[in-house]
Amino acid sequence: MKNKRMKLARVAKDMSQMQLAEQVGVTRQTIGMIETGKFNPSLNLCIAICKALGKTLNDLFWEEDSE
Amino acid sequence: MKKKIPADERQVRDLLWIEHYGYWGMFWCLILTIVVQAIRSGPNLEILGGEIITLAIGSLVMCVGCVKKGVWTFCDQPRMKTNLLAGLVATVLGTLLIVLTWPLEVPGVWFYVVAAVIIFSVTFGILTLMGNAVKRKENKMVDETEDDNE
Repeated sequence: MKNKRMKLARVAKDMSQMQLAEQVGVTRQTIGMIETGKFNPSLNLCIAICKALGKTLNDLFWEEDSE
Repeated sequence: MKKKIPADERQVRDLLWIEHYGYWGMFWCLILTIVVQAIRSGPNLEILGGEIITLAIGSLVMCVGCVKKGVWTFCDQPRMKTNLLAGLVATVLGTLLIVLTWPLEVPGVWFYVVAAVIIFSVTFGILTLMGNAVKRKENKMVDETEDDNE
């Protein structure tokens, strides 16, 4: 499932995938795969992404049943 | 200057996936090589020694790793029934290989029976010992994390 909220949060912060990737210590492809739902990150990586984007885990990764 | 990024967790996962299939591909090719060479040249340790040692090292690493980490297989837990089944399969295949490779001047049919009994005993024994060790490790890990659940 695509993670549109993460992509929106990144764009709202005016960050490219490369910038976010460097900040959290992964490759750009990994960020792209998380956003397209092709890779499930570990909790540590989720937290690092949340900190980089100034969001909480709920904001970016929690999925309501209705979604 | 481009920043050098070490393998991240996705790349590590992908590499482990590649190594998993690479390892098992090599494992079964090695067994096939041993079987074909044994059938063609007989039980000649000078020819088969290298392959057998390589297979033994790979198998030993797998066994020790499973016991140390307290894991068995992807789809099953250690149990007597599967140990018996695996022992029987190994006995049938191992004895068949001996029948195909051993020279015809064996002392008698009892030679094959003894070989079958030895193969079954060793296979079943190792699996049972490993299964018990894995269960002990699992229980130890449960005990070690018990306080965290309170």
